[in-house]
Formats: sequence, structure tokens, C-alpha cells
Amino acid sequence: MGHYSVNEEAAALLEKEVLPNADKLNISLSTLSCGAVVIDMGVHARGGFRAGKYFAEVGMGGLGKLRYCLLKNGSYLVPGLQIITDDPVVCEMSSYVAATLVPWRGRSQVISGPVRSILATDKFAQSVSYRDPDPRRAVAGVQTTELPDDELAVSIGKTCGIAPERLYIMAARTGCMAGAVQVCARNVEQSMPTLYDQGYDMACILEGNATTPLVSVVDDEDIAYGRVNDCLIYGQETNLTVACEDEKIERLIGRITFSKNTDVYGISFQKLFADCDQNWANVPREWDAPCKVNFCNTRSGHTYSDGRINEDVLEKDFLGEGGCVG
Amino acid sequence: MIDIDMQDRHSWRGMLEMIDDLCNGTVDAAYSLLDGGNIKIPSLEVRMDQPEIVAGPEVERTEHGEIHHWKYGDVYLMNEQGKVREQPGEKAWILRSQGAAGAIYRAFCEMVKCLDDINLEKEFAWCSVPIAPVCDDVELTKEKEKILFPGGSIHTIWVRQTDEEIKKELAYAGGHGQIRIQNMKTANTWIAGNVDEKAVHKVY
Repeated sequence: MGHYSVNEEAAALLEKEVLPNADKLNISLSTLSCGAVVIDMGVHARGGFRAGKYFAEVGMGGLGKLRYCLLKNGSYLVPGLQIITDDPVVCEMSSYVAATLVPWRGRSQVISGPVRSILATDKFAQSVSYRDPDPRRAVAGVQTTELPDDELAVSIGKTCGIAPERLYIMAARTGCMAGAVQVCARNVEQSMPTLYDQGYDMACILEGNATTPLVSVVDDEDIAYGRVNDCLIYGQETNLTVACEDEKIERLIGRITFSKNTDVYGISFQKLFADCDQNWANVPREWDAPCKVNFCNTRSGHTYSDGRINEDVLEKDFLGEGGCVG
Repeated sequence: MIDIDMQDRHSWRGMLEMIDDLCNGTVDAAYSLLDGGNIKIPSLEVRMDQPEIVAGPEVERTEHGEIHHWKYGDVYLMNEQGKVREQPGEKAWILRSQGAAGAIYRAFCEMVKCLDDINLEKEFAWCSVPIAPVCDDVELTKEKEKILFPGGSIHTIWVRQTDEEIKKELAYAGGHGQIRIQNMKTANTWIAGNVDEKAVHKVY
């Protein structure tokens, strides 16, 4: 079998299904003077469900699929989404994980997407052997309130090893439909770096699927940021098919999901993040954890589960100060 | 003219394509299952990125059924023996009222009616409406829909308004199941109506 290029697949998906349908997807396109193409899926553009779906599927390098579904939360069926992937390790660690830092406007901007797999400059991309050394085009995803410019494109190119004129950059703020979707789609993703941190061998992970409620899409960036992260730490549930000795899973139980943080469990991420001065550098690494992970071990046939969903937090996020009328 | 189920048989897949076309390619349409009780009930789910372009059709009654003139095409909803005598428009679909396509189509029309009835400027919508079990007698199917639609539908709509405007609008929005309006401006969600699982399951 030939080399599978996450960047080529992502670019092909953009070129075939996204760029020609910009009007119908409520997105806008612009070409920077350095040649990079910026796809605004929700910075100034309205975006939507399908823009968010493409943001995620392109970001996963064509190795993951997103579908929407209603999920039970307390007495409500709330909007939600499901991710499935046959190759969670490359799909997430090499591609979708938001982990590469690039300099922009005097600070560090986190980027995600297949472009990370060219040089694998961050530790999560380095954790797997996959590399995509010389793609025709490469794709980056940025969660931002400002549209990417030449400085960012050149910076991504320099950090990741691609000429800016061969780069597509998808961008959306958190407080929009596509932004909320692309963050909530980081459910399998949320589990993988945590497992890596715990020393679990990535080669043991065979398949992954996960659901996340999408309880809130709001304009206010701080509220939106808090609520989408609540969806991940209090609402996401991942199923991983793995092949290893049971002991390797057993030693993870109680150590990987957000519920291990008993001192802060149940507090909204908006409050937690505010307590960290809204700076990820101040956020303890163990807070960036999945809500619930289930392991199905093909070797033993045993299933293990860690973590629990917090419906109370999610219902508060879903309703805000609203409720039933009449 | 696209034949959904008069001669051909591609009701379920064909209807998703038709719905997407009727919405000018701006929706994510799929089937799902309403879980509850001992039967999972099929439902139509449509997520709309431009709900403002989706408006109900003008209905023309003919000898063999009805023609629904939508903004982006015509739907010929025929009785069992129906034939199309009229010259179809540029984009047209033909389907039987009695079949699965007819039931799916009425579920879609119920979504559009609900959105039409909510007099707010909509950013996005996610509508879920149960699909009735198909009976040879279409009137029996429609009787079931009278219980299923208000009992099992869930409509989530995203808007940017004041909370007061939303509450005022919802006070008059009955008969469409549960309607949830998420205000992107204030981060609050307002809800009217309930899902009546017992009633819905009785229909099945």
C-alpha cells in the first residue's frame, strides 16, 4: 500500500467539497499575498453545521467521520455529535490534536490539523512514527477570533515545513456554530494525549469512536470557550478498541479522566479558566482530560470504563438562565 | 423529473437528496431513531445552515394529488394511481402520498411549518420529527402523524434576539412538539412544549 497523506486527503476534501460550495456553507475564502488560502468558517463568516463538520473531517486528514446525533442529558435530548475513526493514532496525534505552537503577533498560537505531521514538531505528533513529508498542499486549523494573515501563514510554514503558498488555513472562533462543533469533535482527541502522558503505548490503540454533547453555541467568546470545554470534560465519552494486556488498562483506571480532579470536579470550565487568568500555560495538565473513556480489549474480550458524565453542569450550560416558557 | 417511488424505489435515500435540493444544498439531512420504550422510532433530522431560505410551498391541488411549488423545485405528491399531466418545472420530484417517501416528506413539511410559525430571525435550526408507520390508507397514516408530530418532534433553533422577544414568541408556539430557542446573544435557552413519549409509542 502506498503512503497515505493526511494533507493530500484533507486538501482534496477541501477542494472537492468545501471551496466550490462556499456560499452554501456560509464560509468565505481569501488568498493572502504569501499565497496561503484562508478559509473563514466562523471568524467573520456565519459558518454552520456543515462547515463545522468539514473543519473536523479535514482536520482529521480524512481519517475520521463526524455525524450529528441527539444525546440524552437528564430530561432533554440535546444536540450532539459522534466521531468515528479507524486510525485514531494518526488521525488525532499526527493530525487533529491542537498542539503545535507557532509565533503570531508576539504570542504563541496553537494550531491543529494535518500540517503538523510534516515535521512533527510537537511532542504528540512525535509520539507516533507517521510522517507526511512532502504533500502537494497542507492544511492547518486555527481557533481564533482574528483572521489569519501573512504573518501567521509564514509562521506556520516555517514551523511546520511547508511553503505558505501550499497552505490552506481553516479558521473559526469558538463562539460560532463551526467553532463549537470543531472543538466538541475533539473527543477521541481529548483521550489520546492523556493516554500518551500516562505512558500508554499508542500502537495498542486500534479504533476509536466518541460522542460529545453540543449544548451551547453562543457569541460571547469566554462563555463559549467555557461551555465547549465543559462538553469535553463533563460530557464526552470515548470508546477505544485496544490490543494489550489487561494490566496496562487496569493501571490507567482512575488516572485519565477529568473526574480524577476531585477538588475541582463539577466546577464549570469558564470559572476554572478564569482562575487560571485565561491562560493555558497556567492550566494544570491534568485538567485537559477526557470525561469518560471505555476500553474494549481485543486480546481479552474485557471492557473497562473510567470517568463519568456530569449532566448537571451540561444542563446548566444548555439552559443558561433560561428554562421552560409557559 | 426525479421519480422517488412511483416507478422507481429509492424512497429513503432519494428523499434526503430531495430535501437537500429543496433547501438549495444548505442542510445536513439524515435519519435517526427516537429512543424510548421498547421500540425505536425512525425520525427525520435536518440541520439547516440557512433556515431563512426554507419557506413552505404554494400548494396546487390537481385531479391526481397535489403539486407543491417550493422556491427550489416542485414536488408532485400523487395518489396511488396518479399520473403527471402537467409540464413539470425545471426541477421536480414525484412521489406517492401513501408510501414511505410521502411520510418522510410530511415530516419535512412539519419542520418547515414549525419554522414558519416561529416569527424570529433564525441563524441555524436542527429539527427532528418522527416518521409515521406507513399504512395503505394514507388517511390512517395522517391520523398517526397528528399524534406523532406534536408528541415527538424536537426543534432547536439558534437566534440573536432579546430573551423577552423569544419568550413572547414561544408563548404562542404550540403544537410542534418541543421547541428550544438558543439565544446566541444572551447564552440562554428557552423551551416550550414537551416530548410525549407515551403518546408517541402508542402510535407505533
